[in-house]
Amino acid sequence: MLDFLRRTVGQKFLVGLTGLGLCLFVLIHVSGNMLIFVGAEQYNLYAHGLHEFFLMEVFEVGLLTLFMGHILIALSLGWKNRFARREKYRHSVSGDKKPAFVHAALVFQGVALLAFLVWHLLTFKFGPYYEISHRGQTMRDIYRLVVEVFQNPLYVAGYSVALLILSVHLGRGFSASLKSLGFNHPQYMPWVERFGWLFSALVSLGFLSQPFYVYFFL
Amino acid sequence: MNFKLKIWRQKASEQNGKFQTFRVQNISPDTSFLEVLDLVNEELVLDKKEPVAFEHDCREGICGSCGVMINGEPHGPGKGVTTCQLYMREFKNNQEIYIEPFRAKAFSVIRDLIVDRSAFDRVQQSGGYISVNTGSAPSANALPVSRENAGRAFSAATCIGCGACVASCKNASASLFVSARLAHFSLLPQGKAEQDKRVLKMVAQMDREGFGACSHTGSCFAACPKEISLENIARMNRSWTKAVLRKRQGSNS
Ligand code: HEM
Ligand code: FES
Repeated sequence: MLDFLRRTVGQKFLVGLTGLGLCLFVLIHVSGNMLIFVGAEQYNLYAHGLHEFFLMEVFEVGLLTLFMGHILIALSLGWKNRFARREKYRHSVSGDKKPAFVHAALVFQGVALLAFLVWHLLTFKFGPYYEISHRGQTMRDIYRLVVEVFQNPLYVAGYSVALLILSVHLGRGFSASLKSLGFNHPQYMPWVERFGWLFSALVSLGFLSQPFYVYFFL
Repeated sequence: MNFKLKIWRQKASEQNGKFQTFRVQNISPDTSFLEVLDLVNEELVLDKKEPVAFEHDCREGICGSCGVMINGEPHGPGKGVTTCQLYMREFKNNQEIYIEPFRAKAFSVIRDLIVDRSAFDRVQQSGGYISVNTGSAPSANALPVSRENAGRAFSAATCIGCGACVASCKNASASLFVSARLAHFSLLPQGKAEQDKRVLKMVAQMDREGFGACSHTGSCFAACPKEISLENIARMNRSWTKAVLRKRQGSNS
């Protein structure tokens, strides 16, 4: 079992598996966020409900494990990959026809996403705590915080950049993770790749709709 | 046709190299790429200078020794051909052509354009063989092999181990080579018995040699003179995972 951590093929398997887990997480996250269009009360009640849910600690630990596993293993692979070619080509390499930013810098996309993740958690999870009472219960007024934060155009711009990076990372990452897990078939893979880009576009646009809605309409 | 060749010159692996410029003139479009290098060397020898070291043997695309990087592409611009099967008609008149060795930590430069590809041999030796007794040649059709699997195994077996996959990969990964060598055994009944041991050993050796991991960019497939399928890499990944999960405590693979 240790081979999963020791061998590149095993490390890629774990990066792919945790990557798919994170895809599921962002899908659930973005769906929850859509409640902002319903109203402040539903938005806060949903967030409150999540925190009250008795298995939440288990999920939080699981999520942290997914993120840390994905990030640490991917970074260590990226490190090995960088040093697999000590001396660079003097003339640029042109075997690969796709635009370079899509995958040449997966590790850099990842590091940028990590920075975004820390910023995101500091802004919201560990941000100012407002209270409000809905239906006789006191709870965190996360809606108010979201509306406050996205009045600031810098936040809107920062989120746009981060989500653009996320969409590229996910768009390529989805099909890549299946290949790492050992699935590749000439008949299905083109559709899997299309689905990956569609999924990533929907998730990113979903996340983006929130800052833009707040900034322009609230 | 006339060309300006920029050829990488390096005396030994630990020394620094640099491009040296050569001009060649009145070359027929049907001259092969290696013949042009031969012409350069003839001139060098007549001038009592050190000829450019480059590797070649069969000159018909089967031995896999001639690979070099030509204008950033392993084996140059031709599709599905090795350097020795490349003709000057693929280039434009007066074009500048950069010729570099394949570069990877696992492939050190021996001299000029020649690199040490013995890492591939060691991967092969670690498990790329069949050691169980498979008997003498069976009579036809005694051993059923589906036409699809025979075709896939055969096309994996066309790998000539030239190293273009490693050369083109941004991670210098040997996944396409190793997975092709695995597939041409694992798809046939004779190779099945030792499949788990083979994939574990060859992947371990691949890592030990310092090749990178696969990021699925597909550049290896684009560079491969034999157009080995990327499906082999996924096949290697799944058979490796199966082998690890099936492995028993105390077994020595
Ligand atoms: C919302 C968060 C994230 C999701 C949904 C996600 C998803 C994915 C997926 C599906 C893959 C493909 C796996 C494969 O190639 O087998 C991947 C690859 C990768 N991820 Fe993430 N990821 C996320 C965040 C991050 C972060 C924060 C980092 C930070 C370092 C990161 C670094 C990487 C790297 C380096 C790879 C490529 C490894 C390689 O191809 O060699 N990811 N990601
Ligand atoms: S010299 Fe044998 S493949 Fe080119």
